[in-house]
Amino acid sequence: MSAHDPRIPGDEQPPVNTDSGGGSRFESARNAVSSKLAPSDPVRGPRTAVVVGRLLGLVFAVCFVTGLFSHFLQDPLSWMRLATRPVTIYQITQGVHVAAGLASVPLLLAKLWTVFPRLFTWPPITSWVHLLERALIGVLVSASLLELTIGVMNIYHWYGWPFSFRSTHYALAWVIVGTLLAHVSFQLPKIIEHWRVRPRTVELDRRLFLASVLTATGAIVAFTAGQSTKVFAGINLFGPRRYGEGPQGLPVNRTAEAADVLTTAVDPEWRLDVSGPGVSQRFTRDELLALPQTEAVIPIACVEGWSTTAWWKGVALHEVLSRTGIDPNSRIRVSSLQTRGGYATSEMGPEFASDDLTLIALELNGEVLDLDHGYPARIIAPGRPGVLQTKWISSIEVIA
Amino acid sequence: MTVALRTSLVLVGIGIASYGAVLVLARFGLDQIIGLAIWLAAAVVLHDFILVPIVTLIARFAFGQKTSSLAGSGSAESGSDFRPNPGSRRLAIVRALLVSASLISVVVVPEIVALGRGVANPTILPGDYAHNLLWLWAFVLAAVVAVLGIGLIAARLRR
Repeated sequence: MSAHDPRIPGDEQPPVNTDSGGGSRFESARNAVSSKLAPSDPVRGPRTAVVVGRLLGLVFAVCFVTGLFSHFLQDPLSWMRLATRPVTIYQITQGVHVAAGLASVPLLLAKLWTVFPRLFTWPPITSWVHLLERALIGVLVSASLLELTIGVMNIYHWYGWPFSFRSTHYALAWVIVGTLLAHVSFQLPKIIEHWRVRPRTVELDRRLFLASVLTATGAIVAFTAGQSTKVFAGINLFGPRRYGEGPQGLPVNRTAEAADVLTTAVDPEWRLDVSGPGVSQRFTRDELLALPQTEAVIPIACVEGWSTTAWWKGVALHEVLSRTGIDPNSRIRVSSLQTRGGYATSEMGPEFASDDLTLIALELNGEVLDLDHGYPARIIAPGRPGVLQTKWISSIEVIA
Repeated sequence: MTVALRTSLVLVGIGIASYGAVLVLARFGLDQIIGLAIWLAAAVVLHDFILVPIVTLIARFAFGQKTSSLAGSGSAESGSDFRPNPGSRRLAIVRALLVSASLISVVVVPEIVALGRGVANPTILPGDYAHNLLWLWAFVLAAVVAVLGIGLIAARLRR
């Protein structure tokens, strides 16, 4: 097998600086640019591109798998039954997802830096296949840059874009995976050729470049992971949230005021409406408190990657469903007093509705549930993202 | 790896990417699609034609043409008989330190801007990120000074 297959346009070497003779000013200018970008700089060689590229590919793969899990927790297909244990599963997967996403930033910038001269290969298009390859790379670069940009801006609550975050973030993930697969296929001979280190190509410049990129990557992860785990809380210099900080020891995304429930949530006439096929019942808060109480230690784990473990006390959801005459193995919809915001209702599959640790929570960390955390009652279930732990609930109904 | 296998993988990749495109085109309104297209184009333009050129110019200005590569004008493959002198090695270390700090800043500066725009409640972006970033830079610049300082002392001792 030859290392360079001339039928695949990605295999040719970048242009060496050749004398343009008495050519046009454009020619000599172009040669001047390409000579400055030609790989006398070892950081811009294929070996560095492979080393950084495979690390970036691995991190992207982690992002994709954890991201898919997060997606299907929120939009399960009808046949899916998701894991309810360990209770920390989503805390782990989403913490990893955001950490990997942040780690991708220096790695992507480094990868683009190493291959930047290839932007100016001449001639720019040598065949239809070459055009296809370059177009797919263009899509890959653009999708990757935007995916990371909106992901990072999202965890900073900087919502500056004119499209739906979640749908775009999900769609771009597929675009990246597809174009990345194509890119690796086009470049496979070169990747294989430079996969193993060759002693004569080890250079101080390249080592320092990799060291600086890996140090930055490690630092970014280490200085933000404290938003997801107590282990790193002490060095949480740059995390967008802090573990355990907030009312009743838990951070808040949407406050009661922002959700417009300040009057409805404290209304003494509040009732929890529970209804199913042919049956319904209303519970006052005192009636819920009089039912057998269950305790659970479950984290609030946000899609933004932060999480904090909390101690909850309330009535098991399956208890309330049974007393209303509803089979706990049902698909249910929970509605909130919230009038604003996309998560005013949430759905829950039977695996969560019947789980022993899924609670209608009335107490948090030993105190009556705070208004910002969902007073008079909220749903708390193991292994689910925070957006689905509906606050200020007003009704529960069976939908399947 | 045959060309046929690689061709099939490229086609599979195009299929997967098209699935992502369909998710957008089928569900988004025209204004959102246009907005997304603009942001996708802007990402590439900002990176390729603004960020990279600026960083290249800064690197040239700070470190000059001759130290942009320890190997000088030779190719990467012939580096085996080239020994970088201590001065250029120290400058390369300084450059690596500054690159590292800059990459970290790429993630933290938007956070500082987001905090400056205002947050909905105090548990969002609760840290003093500008303060922490400045301390990080102070630490890195101290390391830079140390590396250069050791160089000066070593040079003096050699005389």
